[in-house]
Amino acid sequence: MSKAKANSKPKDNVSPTVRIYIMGEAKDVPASLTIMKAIEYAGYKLTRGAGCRAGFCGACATIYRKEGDYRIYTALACQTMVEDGMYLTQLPFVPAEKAKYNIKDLSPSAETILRYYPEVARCLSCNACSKVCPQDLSVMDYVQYALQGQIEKATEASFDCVSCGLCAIRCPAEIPQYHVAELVRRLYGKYIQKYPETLDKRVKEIEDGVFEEGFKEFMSMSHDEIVEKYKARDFIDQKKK
Amino acid sequence: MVQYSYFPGCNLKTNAKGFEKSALAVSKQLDAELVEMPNWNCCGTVHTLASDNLMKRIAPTRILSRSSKHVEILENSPKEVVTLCSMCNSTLKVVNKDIKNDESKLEPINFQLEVDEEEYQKDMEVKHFLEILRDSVGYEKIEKSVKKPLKGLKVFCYYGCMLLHPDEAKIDDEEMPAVLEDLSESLGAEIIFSPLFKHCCGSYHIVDQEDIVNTQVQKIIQSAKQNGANAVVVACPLCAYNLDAQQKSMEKQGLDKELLPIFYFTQLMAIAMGEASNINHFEEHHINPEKLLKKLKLI
Amino acid sequence: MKFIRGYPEAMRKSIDNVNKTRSKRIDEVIADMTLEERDKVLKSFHPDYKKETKENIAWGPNKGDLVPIEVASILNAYPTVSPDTIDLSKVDYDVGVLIIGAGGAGTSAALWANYSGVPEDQILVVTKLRHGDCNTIMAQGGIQAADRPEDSPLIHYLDVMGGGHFTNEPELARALTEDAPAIIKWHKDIGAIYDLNEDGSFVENPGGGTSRNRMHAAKDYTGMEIFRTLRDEFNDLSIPILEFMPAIELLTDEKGKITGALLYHLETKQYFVVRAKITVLTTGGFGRLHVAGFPTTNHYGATMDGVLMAYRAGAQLKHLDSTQFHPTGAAFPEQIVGLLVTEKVRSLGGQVLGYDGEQLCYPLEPRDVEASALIRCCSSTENYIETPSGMRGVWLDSPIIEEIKGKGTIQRDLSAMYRMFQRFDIDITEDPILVYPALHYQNGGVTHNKNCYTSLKGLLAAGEISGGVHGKNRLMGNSLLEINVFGRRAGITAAKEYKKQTAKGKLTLNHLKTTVTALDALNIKDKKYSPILLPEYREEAVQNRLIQLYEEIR
Repeated sequence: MSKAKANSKPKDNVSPTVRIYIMGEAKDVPASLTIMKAIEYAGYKLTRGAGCRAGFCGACATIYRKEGDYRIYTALACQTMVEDGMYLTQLPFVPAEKAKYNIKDLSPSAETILRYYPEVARCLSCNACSKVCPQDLSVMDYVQYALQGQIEKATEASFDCVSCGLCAIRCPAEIPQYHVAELVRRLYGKYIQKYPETLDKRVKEIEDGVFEEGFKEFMSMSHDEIVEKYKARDFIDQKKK
Repeated sequence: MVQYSYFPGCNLKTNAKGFEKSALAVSKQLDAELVEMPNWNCCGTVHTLASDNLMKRIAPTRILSRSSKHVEILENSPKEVVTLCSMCNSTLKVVNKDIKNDESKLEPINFQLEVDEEEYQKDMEVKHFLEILRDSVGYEKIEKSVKKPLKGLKVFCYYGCMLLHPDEAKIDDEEMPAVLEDLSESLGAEIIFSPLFKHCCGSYHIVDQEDIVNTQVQKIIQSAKQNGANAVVVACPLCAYNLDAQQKSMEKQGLDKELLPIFYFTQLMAIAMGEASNINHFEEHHINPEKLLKKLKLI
Repeated sequence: MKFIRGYPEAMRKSIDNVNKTRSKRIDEVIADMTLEERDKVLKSFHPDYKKETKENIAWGPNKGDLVPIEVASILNAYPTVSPDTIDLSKVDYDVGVLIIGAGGAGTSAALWANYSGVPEDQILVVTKLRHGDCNTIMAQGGIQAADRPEDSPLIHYLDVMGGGHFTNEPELARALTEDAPAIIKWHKDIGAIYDLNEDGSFVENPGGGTSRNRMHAAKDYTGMEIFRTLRDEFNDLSIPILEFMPAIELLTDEKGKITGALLYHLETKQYFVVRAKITVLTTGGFGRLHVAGFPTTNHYGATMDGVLMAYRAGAQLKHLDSTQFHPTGAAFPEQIVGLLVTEKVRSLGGQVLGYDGEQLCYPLEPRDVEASALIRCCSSTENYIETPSGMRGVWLDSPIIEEIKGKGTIQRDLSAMYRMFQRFDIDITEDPILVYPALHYQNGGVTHNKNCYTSLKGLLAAGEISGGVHGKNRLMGNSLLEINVFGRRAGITAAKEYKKQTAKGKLTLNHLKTTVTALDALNIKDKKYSPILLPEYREEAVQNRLIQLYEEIR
């Protein structure tokens, strides 16, 4: 790795700085920044590698090593502070094919998982996927649950996945874990989770025009009349003074 | 009461639900409760047979390591991980022996597990549930628990390959095994011997060369019938599947009319020990054993 | 500086106050404001009511409207392309339905267009960043739907109208509330997960300004769960999508009807021409314009491109003076200032406290009122907390949730929030969260009717880009609802228009010529160009050194 020194010092010398390496180039940046803000501070205008900027979309999957440390680290750039000696790069795109299916034709079983993602059976339980997960999920465990047909457990374990794709890139068995997890969760949502009874009843009432009269009345009201209606609402669920 | 750290393996959750549920139920009755270990992974099956590839031994080692943590929270649990599937049993036993005897193999695997905060201390033994029943529970206790002796059931005890091979993994004498026979006898069944008790069922050839499996199964079943069996008892989900499904397809081809129902040994125990019949998931069998059981007034 | 469990020592004094008052506050209920009190705090403290942050739209259909300076500077700017340099005779994509923007609204519009009979190869979705770089995926708290017997779409409607100070378009508010249960049903049908109670009923919580508990959620990943399910369904249907290909202008025929759009490849810098029978705008809002200098909870691409494109083509806008500031943006640590702290924290019982550890106001006022009350505390009293970087904020007491709802509630129901603060060594089950309002949502936008027709022929709109449904203030849980309700309606309307036997129109950029003529007449000294596509976060020192190489100029 190149350790060439940057000539320019950051202009604001008051706040402490750290030296990071953006795709190999040394940059001194304020120590208080996230990796994403540091890359921007260093002069990059991001197109890839930035999405929601709040830890939900998975666009800013980042891989880094640290000086004097052989380990590979991963992070979401928008949620992680810079550290001295980081060698950084970001994943611009994750090539991992999503299987196509019609969720309405499936059954929630290991067979379904294996039909669309037969590579799941190649899992060696090496746990590399869990190690790189920036959400700290037990990725290997949910892949194994999926393989065992334990859809509910796989759903629970994979729920907080932001689909950044780091697991799929690291997997020696070449499994696209985050796509498998999506199938698992949809199977759970459609076939295993209970279906609240209130929903169909209410949808039917609306289709039958039960609220038609009420809406007509509200919509014909003057401003003052609707304000009075609003003020007169009761609050049956909440504590109010 | 003794609790055991139980490793199910994938099949028990998918194709062999009746095997697992009946085993869990009878284990409780016998005060030798099987408790599923949390977060287990696939044993690795055939991958691990490649003895030169340590990467592929991480899976079974991880199970041993996790199980050794699991036993700590169980009641009176010996340092044993218990399996039902004979393939899992064989895999785990082979790897366990191998890494226990060769530090140079365990060390690099433990090094990989270190980051996961796991380390295998060579302190576990792998047991098949049959071994627990034979060596820890004892036939006497089983016999006492029988509420409905299996009178009229003439069982052929089929071992297949994995319970008796390879040497590191065998649970009984490879030429004269007795564990399935002794167990069945203590349940009140009549034992039927056939020389093909470990004739290979065709195993994974079911995936690509079904005709091989077909031939094997035909021989095994024929021999059992000639010797007077009316049922087969097994301990391996793959054997069970092959024997069960192939007979059914032979029937369809008009090759055979008289089919032998296939039982897991735990299903026979559950029936004899008076557990509810639905835990056996007979509806998932290709040949429904309920017909025979009803005829013999066992359900 | 010494840090104790994530907070600087100096801030710990005030946290002690919070801890001391907690047991007393568990049953303490602060009165909510009357309409008159709401009005007063809004007028005194809400940024919307500050004249000095506003400027007129200088030309076009909404000329004279007072809007935030940042919004005006986009609308009063020159187009980035000159019509003469674009060859519109070669059509790169010729489709039935063009959908611009692939967030929640665009994705559901595409799905419903397809469900309603438009073949997938007659649909084209284009988006500026990736499919999923949108505000929908970041929505945490929930989605409203009146499905319980003790609730009704009518009560929901009243809450929406009152929350918006009765400035809402009634027919849009009706569509929003009346479609809601069917939307949740659709989500369930395609496998989305919602939190359920043991008995199989929905977990439903209150939101600011709701008179019933009707917030449906999937932990605090509600938007993510809804969006990824829609996206998976979208991919299953093989609907074509172009990523990193924002539309930069609409195309019009001689009569001003919308006939397609001009795309710009963010990486190869080429333009592409799309001709479409019907165009749907679902480009979202303006959070990244940082109105009134506020940090924002929004995604990277929220730069109001869609409103601008529509306005240049002659569309009517509405309520763009009105900006939603989410009461609880993170105010500490510095790295995440402005990121959303979901309203669900207050839905579950979290309280808003001053330096002294006492409640500042009813925690579930409508958002503009709650935000104003927080700004009041920080700007006209001494009862705020200051961070080492000089930012002011108030406490959002999260640990009280576990006292009310039991241990483990936060890690189960607020796992995203828990994780976000844990990354900075703050444990929100033990310590409160420092918050200050952050720019959250564009209340106004392009006008449309209940079937999503805008004032322009050939153009539909849905989602945050639109104005009218929420009036001048949106309630929690109504934006995840809106993108689905109007995305769906736009898709259905698009399919209806697609099936009509009309010829596709000519492609021109005539409206840009009109735009330029109008702007020239204003003699603007400091000419600006828009759309900006992405906000600028590079240091000035970097920007001052930018040069264009010869080959790039051509």
